[in-house]
This record gives sequence, structure tokens and C-alpha cells, in this order.
Amino acid sequence: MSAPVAPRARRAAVLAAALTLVAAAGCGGGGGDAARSPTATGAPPDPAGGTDGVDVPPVPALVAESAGVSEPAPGAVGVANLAVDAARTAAFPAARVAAAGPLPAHPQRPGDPARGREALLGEDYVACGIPEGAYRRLLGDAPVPTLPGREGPAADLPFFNNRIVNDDGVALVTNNCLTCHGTPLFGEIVVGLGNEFLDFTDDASLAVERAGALVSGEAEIAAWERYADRVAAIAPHMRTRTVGTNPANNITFALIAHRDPETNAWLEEPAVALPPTEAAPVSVPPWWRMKKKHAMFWMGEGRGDHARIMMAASILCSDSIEELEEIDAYAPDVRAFIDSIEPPPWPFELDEALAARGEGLFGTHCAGCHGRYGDAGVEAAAAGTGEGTDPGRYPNLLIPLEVVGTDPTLVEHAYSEAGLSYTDWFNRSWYGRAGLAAAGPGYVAPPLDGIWATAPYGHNGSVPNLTLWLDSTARPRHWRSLARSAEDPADFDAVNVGWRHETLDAGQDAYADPAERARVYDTTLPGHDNGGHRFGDGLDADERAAVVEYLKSL
Amino acid sequence: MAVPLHGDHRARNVLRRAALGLALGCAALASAGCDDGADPEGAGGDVAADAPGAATGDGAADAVLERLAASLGDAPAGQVPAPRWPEDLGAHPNAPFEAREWLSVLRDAEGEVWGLHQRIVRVAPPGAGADGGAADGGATDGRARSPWRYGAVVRVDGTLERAGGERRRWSATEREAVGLAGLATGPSFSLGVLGHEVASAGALPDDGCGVDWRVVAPGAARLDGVQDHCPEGGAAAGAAFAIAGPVATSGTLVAEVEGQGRGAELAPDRAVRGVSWLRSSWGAPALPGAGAAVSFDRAALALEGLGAVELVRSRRTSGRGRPRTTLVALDPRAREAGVVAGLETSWTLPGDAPGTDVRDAGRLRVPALGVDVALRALSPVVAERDALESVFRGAVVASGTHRGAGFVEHRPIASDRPAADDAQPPTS
Repeated sequence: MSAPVAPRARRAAVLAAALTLVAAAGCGGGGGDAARSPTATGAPPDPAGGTDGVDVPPVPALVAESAGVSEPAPGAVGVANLAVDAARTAAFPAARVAAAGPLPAHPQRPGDPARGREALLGEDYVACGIPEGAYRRLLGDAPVPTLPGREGPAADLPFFNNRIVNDDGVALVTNNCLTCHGTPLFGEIVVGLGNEFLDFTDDASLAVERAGALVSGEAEIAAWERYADRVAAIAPHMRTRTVGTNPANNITFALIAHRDPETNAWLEEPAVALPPTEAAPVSVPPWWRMKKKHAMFWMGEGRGDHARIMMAASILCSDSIEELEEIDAYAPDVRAFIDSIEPPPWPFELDEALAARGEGLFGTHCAGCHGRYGDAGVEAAAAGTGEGTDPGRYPNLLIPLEVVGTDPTLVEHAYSEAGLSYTDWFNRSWYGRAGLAAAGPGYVAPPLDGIWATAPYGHNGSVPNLTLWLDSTARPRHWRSLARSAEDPADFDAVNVGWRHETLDAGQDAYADPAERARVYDTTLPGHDNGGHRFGDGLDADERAAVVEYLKSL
Repeated sequence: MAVPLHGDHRARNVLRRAALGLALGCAALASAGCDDGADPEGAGGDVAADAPGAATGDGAADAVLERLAASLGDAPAGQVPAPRWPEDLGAHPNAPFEAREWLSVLRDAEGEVWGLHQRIVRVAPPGAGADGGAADGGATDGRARSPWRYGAVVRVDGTLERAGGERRRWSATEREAVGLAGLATGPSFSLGVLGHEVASAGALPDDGCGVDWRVVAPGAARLDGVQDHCPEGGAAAGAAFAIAGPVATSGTLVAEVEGQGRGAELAPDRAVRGVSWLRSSWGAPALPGAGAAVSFDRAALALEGLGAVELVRSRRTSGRGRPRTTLVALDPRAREAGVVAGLETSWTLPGDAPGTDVRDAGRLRVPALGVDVALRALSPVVAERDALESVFRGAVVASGTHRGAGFVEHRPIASDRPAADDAQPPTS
């Protein structure tokens, strides 16, 4: 007699991903790279940015402000293995790459945070989904995590869902940005915290297909089938190898491949090469850092008008420029709401004396890239040290790959023919009229506000806690998180700061059960390397503990 | 920005339930519930005959069933909590819908192969207990004594078939109030109508999932089965649940049908052994119907070296997209061996290719598991009316990389060849 069969955890996030996946394409998540060129299509874009009635900085100014952005000419990136040959450049004339170093600021359109929150949770920027009747039957009576204070017909839906009504009058449940950018943490839904527990390791389209069993009626079926078609088109390209890692970049690329850059029309057959079927893993950055960042994404992409770039969340189902312009009208409000978000405070005990010691060490070893925080930042700003103008003195630096040394997969892909084709697409698209992104030859050293809540660490989520992030020699080659969600404080290692984990003797190949295999973070897999960021290796254990204690306070 | 969490966070559970249910349960519910009460419409070669004593064609009862089935479509979602062990091995008296479906592939001493399918469906309006009180569905306890339900209706239908084409079918419907049908619970379980029964042979275990089962089909079979481990399953959709598992089976095919046509030819008291699948479903069904956007095919198979598996194939009724097939190992030993799911499974069925032999029940390929088997029906596949659609259902044997046996259920869609248009069997 065997033990009862537990429900299968893997299937959960399959549905989560399937029903919701596309929010990852925009929303300020670790999404795609893009750049823009005034000559991208052969005809210069509208000098005013081409956004009727919307105050978007002119394109020439945008380019001029973005120092270091250039065509991907040979040798331009300064990294030996990232050379871009001329033929490749010619094939994608609108593609751009960026130099390492400081990322320039760009003025953002003002917005109303309160209206932005309403739009985020109520508008149809993801314009397709599951008919509401079917979705609610799917949910049944089980309690779902709702957002307190949310009003209207979506009030009782999960926080990551919106309810919209399409042109045929069909009420649909769609996914909003919180699918990837919201996490239930210790009993609270933390808006803006990247969800590091989603499971993209299975075929995301299966659950959507089978949800069709609950859909009937001509209009409902048509609406469902539209959504199911889109999901089916990109699902093969959004599978990750490890539970908790996000395929945001691949989702974006797959969607781009199915879009006409000029009209935004959906193309049944991809116009450019689809991304690999195995997505390089990305850790989802928290939203509360956006206010400090000049570029939204890990490689310095996402410059210019952040509101416009966030709108890439609409790329799954918005099929015309007119639709995009409607969304663009409230996108600055959404950006303003995101900028208003603050990180959750450290919820455990803090050793103030140790943290104070750590602050000094941080200033010596870390602040040069990650900035200063709290009083130190204010004092530095007041002293006019020239470290920047952001509150907290965050320098917005893109660190070259050969310096930071972390997994190069994302950067290498950005400079590949496929990667350049996507940036070329973006630059020629309506998004690129105001958004500017050019992947740099490395990764941005992010602000560290609320870093305690954002484990695991690194752009690919390859390092389970901060102590290990500050000691590259001790990082596990294979490990497994012992937390299945962020709900239980007992699952959190409050000393080393990260979700409890166990070191394993073998990688994924040692596990026959796919569910078990997918829970193994195997750093030998492509894109999963946990090397680099050796800047804490010189600290002794006491010093490292002090820095970690200080980081808890940010 | 952090905001208080409203209520329990069970998003993953919800999603898990939904996904698992869709994988395992929708087809089960589709087949188990909402019969229209019509007698099966067999066609050429069918030897359908109603069992003696079965109140077939009870128009009044069928009408009640239809109304109840229709009313369930409007039932509010969510009256049944998540599955619990071992309670859910027992009855769910507070659920407005409950079904047990038994599928057997059996072999007698002469080597002859038999297929038996029997399902019993109980439909009751939510909360229609004897006292007319409100539904207490949220507190379903499978081990509790069943309230007597005046309005409940129980229906059985089944088929016994022998390799070569002979087939016997039965159906009956009765109201629970009459006393000839009903749900018995408590330390044991039974669901039956007019002598047809699926029941536990003894008390349900308190601390596990090992159960001895008994299935009785008067005039057809009396079988005993041992289910030595928990079934696999979970939520199907909305507030409906489905679990299924293999059952080692032995028993007797009986012939107490004198004067009832060819029944005696079918099974003159033959001792048989084989494998069965017991599928249980309950809840407030969110039934996929003939008008839904997706149709399901399914198969329950026992394959040598692989154990018991269940296949679910979904197709859009529009014909768009590609069929999606999943394989779930029902045997925990297979799961432990890594046979968890085969998402890359390919299952082709006769409806996929015009001109297919009517006895060709498809080909199953699971490259990751090295499986490539042909499925062959014991007898010419015959369509049945099931709710609003045609269903081809029958026992199959498997050959190829793995030998085995099982049951296949195929629902043609409009874009299939003409066989989908009515209840006629496909022709080659």
C-alpha cells in the first residue's frame, strides 16, 4: 500500500504560465533587448516620436542622449567573443548595440500612480484570454490570492488576472503584469516582486488547450481559440529547464517573430527566426528599483521611454497600431505606479551593529557599482561627489562581461544574428519610436533596494543566497530550493538571505522523474552558470556576514 | 508595496487542480455524466441486448435525469473541497453528481479475451436531502452516512464484449427514492441500481488506499478486484474531481440470460482474470459537451514493462491546432521508475485518417519511453450515443514494443470523416 498521491506541483505553473504567460514580454521584467534607429525603415520615423497626442521625447534627442549606442559594427563591443561582422550588421540595419559604462538618463513621461494602478489591474493591455465562465469554473471554489482593495468584477479574481470584455462582448480573464511581477510573500502579496517560483518547464500551451473543454458558444470559442493559437505559437520557445527561472527574453523574441513591425499585425508564420526552444533563464527584477534605473533590463536594454517599453506586455494580442496607441495613453500612469512602489522591509531581526560594520565594507567593495543607500547616499549626494543624481546615488553602470564574469549566454545571444534581428525588429516597430534599448556587452549592476526578497541571485537566478553571491568559491554546482513558494518564513534562511536550499551531488541528468529533474538548478546547463561576480571573494567570513547584514537593511 | 493577502494563498493549488483535472478528468466526466437517457444506438454487428430486470427506457426516470443534468449546468461552482485520502475512496453523498466507471480487459482459461465496461452515475440536485435542507457540499465527508435523497436518480450502462465482435449491452435508470438504486456509504462503499453495482468488498481502509472492489453486472459479470495503491487524480474542472487507478481483477462472466437472445453465447460462466481500471468522479460537474471547443479521447492501458497508464488526447472541435496527448502513469511503481508523463506522446486514431480499419484503435508512440504500439479493438468499434455526441468505446489489445490491453474511447469531431456526423460506426 503506497502513500497517497500528491497533486503534481509541476502542473500548477504550467497553467500559470499558459494562462498568463505574456505579461513577461513587457512590464519591466527581464524582457527583450531592443534598440532604435532613426533610419531603421529607410524612412525616418516621425520626428516627434510618432505618438499622436502623447508627449514623447523626440527621437533624435533620444539617440543623442543615449551615449554609447551604436550600430553593431565589427569590434564595436570591445569583447573578443562578441564581435559582430559586417554582413550581419547589413542584414539588420536597425540593430544597435551599446558600450559598457554609465547608462544615460532619459526623461520619462509623467503619470498618475493611482490611475496607473487601476490601469494595471483593469485595462486590456493583454487583450486575449480565457472566457470568464470557463475560467471561473476552472478555479472552482478554492480560495485564490486576491488583492485587498481591488474593486470591480475582477475583485475576486487572482491578483495576476484582469477581466476585460472583447469586441464581441465576451468577458475574458487575462493575465496582468503581476503574473511575473507579483509574489505572495509571507502572507502578503508583494506587488513588484518578481515571482521566482513559477514553473515554465512544461508545455505552457497544454493547459490552455484543455481549458477549451469548458468553453462553448461561438463568440466564446472564437475568443478562446484566438488566445490558444497565440499561446500555441510561442509555447515551444518558452520552456525553461529549471523551476523558478523565467523565459521572459524568449517569450519576447517569439512574439516579435510573429509580428509585423510596421503594422503590429499578427503573422501566422514567423517573419524572422524563432528563438531557441530552450529558453535561457532570467531572474525577474523587482519593480521598486525602476525609479533608479536608466535602462530596464539586465543588459542595458530598455532605455528611453520606459512606459513605451513596458507596453510590450501587449504584444501577445494587440494587433494594430490603434490598439497600441490606446494603451500608450495610460502607460505613463502605469510607469508612475511602478515608480511609486517601495520594497518590503526586512522582516526578521537585524543586528544593527553588524549591519553598520557591513555598511562600511559595502561602501568600499560594492557601492562603486551598486550605489549608496540611506543616509550614506544622502550624504554623498549632499557632498556633491559626482556619483550621479539619483536618490541613493545609484550610478547605473553596465559592467563588461569580462569584468563581471557571469554567464554570457544572454549577451552572446543579443549579439548573435537572431538577437540582432530582434533588436532590428524593435527599432522598426511602433514600440521603438520612443523606446530605446541596445544590449550592452555585459550586465547592469542593479540597485540593491529590497535585495533580501529577491533571491536567488544573479541575472539567471543561479546563486541561492547572498552569502554565496559574495563568495564565488562556495557556490554549489547543483542545488535545489527547499521552498515551493515564498509563503512560509520557515523556508527562508535569514542568516544567509535566500530561500533554503540543499546542495546536490549530481545535475539534472541524474533524475529520471521530470518533476524532480526540473527542480534541480544545474549550473552546467547553458545559461545557468553561476560563476563570476567574484567581488566578495576577498572578504573573510566575518566581513561577508557584515555585508550581508547590511544588505538586509536596504 | 506590500498589501495584506486576502484569504489563503492557494493559487498553485488551484492551478494544479485545474491542470491535473484537465489532464485526467474532463474526459472522464464527459463520459460519466449527463447521459441523455437514450438507449445506446448500436449499429451493424452489434448484439446489444438489455439485461433482464433492468428498467431500461424508463421514460419518467430518464426525464428526471435529463432535468437534473440540465440543472447541474447552472450549479454554482465550488461545492466540493479538494480530494482527501482516504475519504475520497468512499462516497460523496453531498456531491450533486457521482460516478464510478469500471473498465476491464479479461482473459478466460481458453485464452479468449473479453472487455467489460460498466458505469454507474448518480445525479442528485444539490442539497436535496430527505429534509430538504440546504446543500452542505463544502463539508463533504466520503465516510459519512449518506442522506437519503428523494430526487436522486441512478443510471447504469455497460457493455460486455468478446474478441471477434459479439457484444452485450445494458442500461437502466432508477430513482433512489424507490429503493432500487442508491449510494451506500459508511465503512464501505457501494453505488448501484437494480442489481448493478460497484462496491468495496469490505470496509474502506482508514489509513491508506488499498481497497478490495466488487463489480456486479447482472447477466454479464461478477468480478472482484484488488486496488493495492492509491489512484491518481484530482480536480477535474471547477468543483468536479476525478481519480482513476488500475485494479487487479478476477471473477466470473455469467450467463443467466436464458431467453435473452445471444447472451448465453457470450459468457457461459467463465472464470476470467485480468486488469481493470476504476474511475471515480464526483462534484458539481463542469461538463465538456458536444458544443465545447475541445473534445477528448482517452485510453486506459496496461502495458508490459510500463504498467498502467492513462492517455488523454484533446482536439479542438474546429479542427484547428494539433491534437495534444498526455500520458499519465497510474501505477506508482511506474512513476517511481520515471514514467510520470509523456507530453510528447503521439496517439493517432482511426478518425485521423480516412480509410482506417474499423478495428484499428490507433497507434501510440511515446519516444521518451521507447513505446510504439498498435492498438486493436477486440471487436468492431461501435458508436454509442453519449449525451449529445457519438462515442466509439471498446476494449483493445496492444502490440508492438509493448504488449498489453486496455480501453479506448474516441469522440469524433466534425472535421473527422463522415462517421463523426452520426452514430454510425466508421467503415473502411
